[in-house]
Amino acid sequence: MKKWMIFWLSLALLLPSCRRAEAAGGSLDILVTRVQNAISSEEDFVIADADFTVDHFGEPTFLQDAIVALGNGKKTREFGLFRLKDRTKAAELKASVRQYLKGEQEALISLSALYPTEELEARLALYQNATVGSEGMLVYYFVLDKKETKLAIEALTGR
Amino acid sequence: MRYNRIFFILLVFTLFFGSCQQTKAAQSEPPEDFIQKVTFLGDSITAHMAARAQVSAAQIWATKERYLNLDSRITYAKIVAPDTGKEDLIADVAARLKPPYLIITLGVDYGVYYYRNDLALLVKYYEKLIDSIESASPQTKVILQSIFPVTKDCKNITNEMIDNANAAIREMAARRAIPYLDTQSVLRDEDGFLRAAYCSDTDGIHLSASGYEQILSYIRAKAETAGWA
Repeated sequence: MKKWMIFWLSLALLLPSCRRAEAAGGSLDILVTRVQNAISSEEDFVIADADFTVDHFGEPTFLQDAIVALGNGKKTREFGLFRLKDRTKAAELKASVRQYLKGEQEALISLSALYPTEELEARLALYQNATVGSEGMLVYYFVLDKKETKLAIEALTGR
Repeated sequence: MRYNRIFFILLVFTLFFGSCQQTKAAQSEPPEDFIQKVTFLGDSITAHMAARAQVSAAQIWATKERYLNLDSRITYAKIVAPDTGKEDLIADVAARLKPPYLIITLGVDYGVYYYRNDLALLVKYYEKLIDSIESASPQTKVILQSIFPVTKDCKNITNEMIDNANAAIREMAARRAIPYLDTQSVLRDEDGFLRAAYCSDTDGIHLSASGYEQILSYIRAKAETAGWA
């Protein structure tokens, strides 16, 4: 009986992690599509060019691939997905992402001083509350509202 | 016979006098104002031209919020297209409207301050924008205009930052054989600040109607010298 309990418990623990690994696997293009599909919206995203990604996150040797998607509509939305070659570098990359988000916040604060609008304040709040995380070889950030962030993470990680 | 002669003289006189009037009318007709052929792209300083300068709203390309950052997102920025009233990418509007002349004035919203220690980045993003416009509308003559000076009251942005940025923009324009308008030169007072009469706001940045008049006069004069149609 005990053996069966251990077996079923192990299976219960193993299956979700397999699903997570599978969820976070696949090419970044597929993951981007998955996230976009999960976020219910009529407005689409535009993929930032390589210049944008390199300018803001550099080209560290431990990075295999990176995609940043910028919201194409009225609402401020943005997310970035990064595939690492070395998962031990996740913390370093996350620090770099946080630095980028901090820079965007500073820019918005400065712009708000010149143009004090609710729209800019709302944008600033989104960047201040951005989510940065990692799952295996994947590092991600989301500049989305709470609901969309939750959906995006679920789409990526299966959690 | 006598009346025929009188009539003939009157007829010749009328014809002659009438053609003189037409020639005079043709000579005194003013040439088309160059400004009418220009489209202006920029941040809030450009956006305010619609209300404060002698130009039509259709000549202004600006964002709905009026600010336009010269940063890595510049080619993703959307302006309010004057033909549709909808927001659209700058390059897409250029491809559709193909303005004969496009005067771009950018930098004060973001570039001047944030890239003050790395003007190469300011130039890089400016060139990214220019490339996208030239690719979308090769027949458009792109003209770069200097960033305008600020008053003493301006926080964060100094005229030294502006001068440095303008030097970088001027150099880039020369390298790319793009005309550069040093309009800032006609807006300064004796101390090098934006003349008070040309400033409309306590922020020390935005311009008054008389400031815009100076700008447009300067552009007209330069257009004549340069031989722009």
